[in-house]
Amino acid sequence: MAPTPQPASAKSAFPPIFECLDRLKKGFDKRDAHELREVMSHCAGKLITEEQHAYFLMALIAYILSKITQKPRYKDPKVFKNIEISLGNALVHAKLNNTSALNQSLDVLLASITELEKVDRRFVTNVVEKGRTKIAALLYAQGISLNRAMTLTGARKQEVLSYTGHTMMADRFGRTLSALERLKNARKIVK
Amino acid sequence: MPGRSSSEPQGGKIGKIRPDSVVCDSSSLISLTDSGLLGALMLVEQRMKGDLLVTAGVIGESITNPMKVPEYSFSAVRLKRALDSGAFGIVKFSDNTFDRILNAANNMFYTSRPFHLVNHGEAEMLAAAIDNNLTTLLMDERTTRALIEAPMELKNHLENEFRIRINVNQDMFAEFKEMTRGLQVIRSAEIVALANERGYFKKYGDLSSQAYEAALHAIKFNGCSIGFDEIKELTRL
Repeated sequence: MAPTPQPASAKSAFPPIFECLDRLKKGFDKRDAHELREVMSHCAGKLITEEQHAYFLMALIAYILSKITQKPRYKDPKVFKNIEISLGNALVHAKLNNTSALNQSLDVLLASITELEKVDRRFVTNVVEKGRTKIAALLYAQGISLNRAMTLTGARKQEVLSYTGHTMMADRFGRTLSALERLKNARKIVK
Repeated sequence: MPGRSSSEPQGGKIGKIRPDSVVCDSSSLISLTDSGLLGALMLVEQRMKGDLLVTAGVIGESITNPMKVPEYSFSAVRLKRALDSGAFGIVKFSDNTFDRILNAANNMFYTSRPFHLVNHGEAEMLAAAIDNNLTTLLMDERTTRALIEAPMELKNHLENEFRIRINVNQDMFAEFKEMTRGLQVIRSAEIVALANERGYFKKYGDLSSQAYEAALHAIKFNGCSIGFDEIKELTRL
């Protein structure tokens, strides 16, 4: 079905970054892990097309919050309330399109969420690192180079390679050369 | 930027660079080592017409940096031992080629702004191959491989993923194509296949065929961009 054209009046007056953050906040308010994962993917895509660091921070926060809302051990009403307040504060900066203040408030929020896990640490790799890996893998799957994805997210190459190795990414992309052709090329390097 | 040289490109440890040498990316070194298949690469290396070459950046990514992380340090130690034993030579490249590669690759596709696709790591490898007149790259990373072999397929993929129309800057496209003309990419999967052809899996006796197929799956799960159908095909060749 062809998409219905939007009337000019339906276009939001707010900056796109505000809309992403607003969606993130609403997703968290509803404790909707699925919606938060959608926000993560959306922000990761925006990170590539818009090249704004705030999209990375929002993608990472959305991923972490999706995890936090699913795990009973994190469910502390006081902590959740603080996250809601922080997201509200960040929204004000996003509405004004104040990028540096927005990045700063998202950084502070990220740091406070990261502290949560230190209280009850169970894995060597924390949820922030997992989020970085997940976003980097997503960008790599979308067509950005591995090193570029690592630079944008701060993920580790080994982690991203291992993560993507367990996905269908290589199968979905298709082939640029046949297996035989590539093997023939490889045979040229040996005596 | 380590590994760059404004002077004539030259080999670090091995002196003159032999024409059939292969420039290795950290993605392949990591997936081979993490799969316990560094031995397969070393077997192939002994039978190569040229040498295995790495840039200083690749050493940083696959040895120096992971050495500091306990989770990856054992793989890094194994690679360091191989490097110290002379299995890899160090290759340099010029700033000029490096900058031209980055510029062309990151400006050939654009929407309202250029699509920044590759970074220093990938550009370093390409520059090292171009400056030293080498034609073979060992690389498991998919995007750079697709840029060299089928850039329009990559463009279509990006359009599908981001649901946007991407334009092509024909000048940059032509420059990148010209610079990378003649480059061939092999993956760690082909290294395992070559090692198999040279009897690497014979030590498994009756299980040698299974070991070969399992090894191909192991490198896939450690990041080599190879499909399941390609693995099946390789085992039949």
